Amino acid sequence: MVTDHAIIQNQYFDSVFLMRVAKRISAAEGIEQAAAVMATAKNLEALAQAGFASAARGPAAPNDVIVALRATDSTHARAILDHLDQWLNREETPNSGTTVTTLSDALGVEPNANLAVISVPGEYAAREARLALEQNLHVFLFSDNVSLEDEVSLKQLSKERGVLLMGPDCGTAIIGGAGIGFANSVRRGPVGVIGASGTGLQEITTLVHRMGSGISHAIGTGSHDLTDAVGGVTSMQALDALDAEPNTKVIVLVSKPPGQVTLGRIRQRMASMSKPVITCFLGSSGLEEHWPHPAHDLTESASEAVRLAGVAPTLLPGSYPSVSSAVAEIGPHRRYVRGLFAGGTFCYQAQQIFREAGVTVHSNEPLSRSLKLADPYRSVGHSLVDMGADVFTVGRPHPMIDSTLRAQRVEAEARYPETAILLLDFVLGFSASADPVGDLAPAIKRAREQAEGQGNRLLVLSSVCGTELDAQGFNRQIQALEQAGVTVFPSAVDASRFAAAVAIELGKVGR
Amino acid sequence: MSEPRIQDLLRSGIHAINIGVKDFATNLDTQGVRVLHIDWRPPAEGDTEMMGLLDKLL
Repeated sequence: MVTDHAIIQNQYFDSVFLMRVAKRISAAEGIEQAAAVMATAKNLEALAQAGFASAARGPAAPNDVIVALRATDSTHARAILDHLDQWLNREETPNSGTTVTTLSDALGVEPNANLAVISVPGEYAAREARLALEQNLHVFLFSDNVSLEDEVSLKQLSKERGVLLMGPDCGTAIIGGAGIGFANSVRRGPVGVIGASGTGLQEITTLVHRMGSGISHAIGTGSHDLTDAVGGVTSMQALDALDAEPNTKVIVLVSKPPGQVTLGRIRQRMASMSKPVITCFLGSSGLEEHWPHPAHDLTESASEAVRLAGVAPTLLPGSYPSVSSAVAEIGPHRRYVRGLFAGGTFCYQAQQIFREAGVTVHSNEPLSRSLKLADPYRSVGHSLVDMGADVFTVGRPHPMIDSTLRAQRVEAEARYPETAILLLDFVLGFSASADPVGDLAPAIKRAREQAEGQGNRLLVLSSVCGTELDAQGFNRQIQALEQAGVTVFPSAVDASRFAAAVAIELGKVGR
Repeated sequence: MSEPRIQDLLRSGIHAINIGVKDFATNLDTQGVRVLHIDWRPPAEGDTEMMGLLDKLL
C-alpha cells in the first residue's frame, strides 16, 4: 500500500464537486481511499488526520487543490495523479454566458436578487456573508467553521438590516416551494417549519408531505441559533415572519434544547403568537412539556402539525415483524444494536428514544459525556454512531454523498458476533447521493450472509427520509432495501423504537 | 413584528446568487429558480488578514 498526492496550483473547485471527484477516484482500480480538497489550513489539518501527512505538508496555498490517495501500488496511484485534469473536468454553470467573480459584480447583473447562498470554506464565509447582508440580501450560509464571534456579529447585522441569516452551518431550507441546500421535494401547504438541524428539517418536511399535507416554508436557523451566545435571532425573526405569512397555518419549531435565557425569550414570544406553534426540543426530556403544543420527536412534530392543519395524518403502512418474532430470529449470542447514521439528528433522536426506553447506548456524539465511545471506529455494547461527524468526514465526503465508509462499517459490525441489529437511515433529496440504497445494498447483503454463514440472523432496520418527488425515488429506494432483506419503517422514530424494544428483550436474562 | 424584507422573500420567492458549491445553483436552476452562480475564488490569494484590510480600505 502506498500514499501519494499531487497539487494543482491556482485552481478553485467547490467542496461538493471535490467530494464527488474523491468518490469517483476511490472507486478506481487499485485505489483504497482518495481525498480531494482546497489546501486551506483546516483542510491540511484534516488531511494529516486522515493519514495523508506528507500531502498535508504541502507546500500548497489556499488557492491550490490537493488530491491525496492510498493505492495498492505506485503505478495505480500515478495513473490517477498524472491525469488529474481528466478527473477535475468542470461541468457547465447554470445561467452561464455571464461569468462574474464577486458579489458586487453579480448584483450588477442581477440587481433584484434577494438571497445569497454561501458555501465557501469557513475561513472566507463570514466575509462573503457580511458583504451580502450589507447589500440587504437574505443569506443561506451552508459553511461551518465560522467563529462564534463572527456568527454573533453577522446575526446582529442581519437583525439590523431586517433580513434572514439562515446559518452558519445551515444544511436545509425551503422557501416558497424551492429547496435550498440538502432539501427534499415536497408539496406546498400550510405547515411552516423552523429548525436548527438540517436532517431534522428534512425529516419533518418529508413526513408532513407523506402524511398528506405540505410545507409553506422551512427556515433553517443554523445549529447554534438558540444558544444564549447567539440569542435566537433567526428563530425569532422566522417566528414573526411565519406568524404574519398568510399561507402558513401551523408552525413547527425544532431544535436541541435552547439556552436558558433564549428559552425564556421564546416562551415570551409564544404567548403573543396568533398561530399554533409545535415545539420539539430533541434530547430535552420534557422541557417543552408545559408548552401549548409539545412534540416529543420529529415524527410527532410532523403528525401534530398535519393534524392541526386539519388533515388526518396518514403514514405509509409498515409490514414489519412483532418484537417477539424478531427476537426469535436473532442468533443466541447476538445481543447489541449498532446504529450507523448518515443524519446527525437521526443519531441524536435515536439516543433519546433508547434512553427513554431505559437502554444504555454509547455514541461518538453522545447525549452525555460518560457514554462517549473511546474509539469512534469501535462500537461498545449498544452503540449509535453519527457517521457524518467530523472524525469520519475529514478528508472524506459526507455519508449522505458517499457511503464508502459506512459500507465498510456495516460489514465490520456484522463480523462482531455480538451484533444483533444494524439500525440505518437513508436521506434522499437534492445534493444527496443519486442512489443511497444502491450504494450500501451490496455491503448489507454481505453483512447478512456473514451472519447466516455463522448459522444465525442479523436484523437490519432502516427508515428513508424522502418523498416520491425526490429524484432518487422514495418507493424505488424502499423496494431496493426490502430486496436486500432490510425491514423498512415509516420514520426514523419508528425504526429506533423497534430497535430499542428488541434490545430490551435481548437483554433479558436466560436468552 | 415581522420584517418587510422577510415578508417580501416569503411572498415573492427566491432570486438567488450562489457563492461556493455549484451543485446548489444547479439544484435551484432545476427547480425553476432564477440563480446566478459566482465563479468564486479565495480573495487576496487566500490571505484572510489581507482580505480584512482590503475590505476596510475599499
